[in-house]
Amino acid sequence: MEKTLDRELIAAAMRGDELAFSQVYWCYRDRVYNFAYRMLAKRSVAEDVTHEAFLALIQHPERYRPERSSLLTYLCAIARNHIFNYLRRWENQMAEPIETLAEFAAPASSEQNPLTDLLRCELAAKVEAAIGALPPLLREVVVLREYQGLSYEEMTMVIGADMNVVKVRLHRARQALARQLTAYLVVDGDHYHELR
Amino acid sequence: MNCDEIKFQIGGLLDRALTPAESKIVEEHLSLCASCRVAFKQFESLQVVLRNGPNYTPSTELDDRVMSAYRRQHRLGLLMAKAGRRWRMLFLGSVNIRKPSLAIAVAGLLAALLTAFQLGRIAASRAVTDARLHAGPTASPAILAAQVKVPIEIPVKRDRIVSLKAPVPRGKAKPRPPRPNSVDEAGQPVAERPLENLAGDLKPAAASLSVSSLENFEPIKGATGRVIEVSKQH
Repeated sequence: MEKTLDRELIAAAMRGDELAFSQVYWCYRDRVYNFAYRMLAKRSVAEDVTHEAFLALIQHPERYRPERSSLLTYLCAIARNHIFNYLRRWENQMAEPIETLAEFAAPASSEQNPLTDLLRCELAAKVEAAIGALPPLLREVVVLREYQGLSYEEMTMVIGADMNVVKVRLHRARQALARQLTAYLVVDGDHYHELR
Repeated sequence: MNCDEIKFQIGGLLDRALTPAESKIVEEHLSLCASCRVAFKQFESLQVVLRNGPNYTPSTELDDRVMSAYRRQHRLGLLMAKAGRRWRMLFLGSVNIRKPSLAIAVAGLLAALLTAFQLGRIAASRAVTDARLHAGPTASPAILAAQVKVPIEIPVKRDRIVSLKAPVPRGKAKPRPPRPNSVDEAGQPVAERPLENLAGDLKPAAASLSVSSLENFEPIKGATGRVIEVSKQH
């Protein structure tokens, strides 16, 4: 969503236009929630974090500066604060990795091959487990870059770190993931997986 | 660039975060170096695997919570605005303050100045009183005339504390019970006498009130002395 559109929608929401707010909410809900869920691996806590992020937008919409960052960046930055507060409080950094196959068996595939579905689920579970095993500072850059699609500049705004720090963390995270998922990655020009 | 530096730049190449010049250097290196090419393919396939990951959706309860929070906040905002208008009409009437923050700042500054002025007055009056008290009873006739009850810090013997009274006409003096702090050497209570009968005692009594003479007295625990009443010494 464009920044100008975001600004207009938020201005309308501040005036009491519920439809405008629901548009903003539905546009960013899944992305904020996925960020929180991949960082925390707990549905209830991830929902709380998402709620807090949107609550901050509801209560203090003037704090969002469209000229500085996108709304997704702003919401992710708020969510990140809550995520790290939670991690600091409980010190259980991703104690329960997202590895329940039931989570991935649920979405129905258009393909009719059950083996393909099973392999897809297994791969997804392995990937989530590998991400969950990363330290939070490395995990967040991977999630923000690969799942949220943020640019390096946007990541520096969310994390509040230097560009070089972001690059180094991302490189280390990719190296760690590549080591853990070697069996699922392509090396010699073949397709990385038959699931592709 | 060596291989380590190239491998560090591979992520940037995949993310299209390199400048054209940097991209060209990295691509040229990749065309020549097999190990870096393997690393590139690894990262590339990792990116594909990650981006094909599932998308999670929250429960509908979250939607309800967020939307109800929005409605509540909006209602609260309306109420606050209404209440603000009422208070404004109550206190200001039709006066329009264009810059409320500036008005509040000016009011705060005025309040601070007024408080400082009052505190200064109190401090000044205290300083004058302290100066008078520390000067001693013989230094300033004004203090003697003012009949101020002066607390003396140094504990003194009780027999040195006297009460100087104005002279009473003879024949009309009525016997009064002795004051508790008017005692003689033996600790017996001494009845008050008219001032002219105290002519002999006046000097030592006055001397006993000066600080230099009080220093020689033996302190009594818990005892304090004070000039009870001073008037018309002559």
